[in-house]
Amino acid sequence: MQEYNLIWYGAVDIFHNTRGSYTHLFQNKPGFKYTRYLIQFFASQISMMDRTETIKMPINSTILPFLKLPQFKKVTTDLEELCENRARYLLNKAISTNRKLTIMYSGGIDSTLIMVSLLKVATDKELKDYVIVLLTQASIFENKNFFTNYIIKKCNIESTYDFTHYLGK
Amino acid sequence: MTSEEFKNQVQYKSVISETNVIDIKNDPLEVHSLFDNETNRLLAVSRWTNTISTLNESNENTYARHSINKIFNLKSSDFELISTKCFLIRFYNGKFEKDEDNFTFDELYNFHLNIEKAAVLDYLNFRINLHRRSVLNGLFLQESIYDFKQKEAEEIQRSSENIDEMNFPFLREYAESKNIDLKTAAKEVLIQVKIYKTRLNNTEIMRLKYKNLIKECNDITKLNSILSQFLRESTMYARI
Repeated sequence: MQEYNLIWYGAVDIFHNTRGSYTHLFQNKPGFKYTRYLIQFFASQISMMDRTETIKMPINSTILPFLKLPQFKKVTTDLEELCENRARYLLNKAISTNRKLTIMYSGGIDSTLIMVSLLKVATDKELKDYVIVLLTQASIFENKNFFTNYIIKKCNIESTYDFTHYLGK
Repeated sequence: MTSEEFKNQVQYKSVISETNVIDIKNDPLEVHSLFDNETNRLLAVSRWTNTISTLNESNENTYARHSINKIFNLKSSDFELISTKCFLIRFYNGKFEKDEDNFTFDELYNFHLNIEKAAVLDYLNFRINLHRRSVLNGLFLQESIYDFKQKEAEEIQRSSENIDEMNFPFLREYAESKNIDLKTAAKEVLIQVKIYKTRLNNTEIMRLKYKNLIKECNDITKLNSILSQFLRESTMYARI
């Protein structure tokens, strides 16, 4: 996030209709025109890739290794247990590497699930020492009761607008 | 050399100056301007004082006039001025006069560079203001009230003894209205202050960074990529 070397965003800019970077290098390649139509139709800031690799893009493209879907496997664990196990695993990893887990909490269903799982498995001391919750006014309004009853009482809270200072630490 | 010949030679495509046209004769807002010292040519016009000040710093031998449409009676002037051709206008003895379109390459380069820079700076200011406006409350003295609340909250956080509610009128009312204790109210207020500050700080970081990039840019063809960088960083990277 330091400068402009994030490759997964850079790729979209190539296809931008008026402000494309390095467009002249690629515009005559096969499939360029159709990819540009696709990006214009949906949204210029969304990079479209099918992680299951079922849908073929008009240009030659591949999924970066860390973005590939893991192999499907059947499990008998229910969602609650899965979430709690994952929360415990991440917390243990943070403790053993002496780092902090930073949760970008929006107040929506996904980040609330993450917070609930952490609140269930972590002790008060672990929450205080190893978890930071990033939020905005919108996150507070989205789920007021959860914020008032749990987050503000148990967690370290910081502003989401400062999120770049918490990445990669 | 005409503007069109110049553009073809430099292979320069206007970024936004040709769409961001200001009708300074009829604009109800204040219009600010930058002039060349020696020739008294109008180099750039903007609705933002800030844009003109920045251009004034980055150009030698220029001077700024603020609120030109309020100071001079432009309506009676015999010229049509759009922001893409500011340099066709001279300012003599308190009057604006149109001049012939006949310039050297270097003159045209400088004129177009300033016009493009003004347009990009205007857009930057517009976007920064857009983000800042979203944190404005708009009520009289609301900033002072936030300030009082912050001070009380900081004091409550520091205090380890029993807290006398009477000493914290703003926080006491806040806590009562939300049915929470004073310590929680202090924590809530402080996180809101932090959100407010970080948000404003982000707009300031972006403003300074891109203002300086535009100010120092001497290659007209690079302005397009500066604008793209700003849009990418502010929207895709969510820096503001």
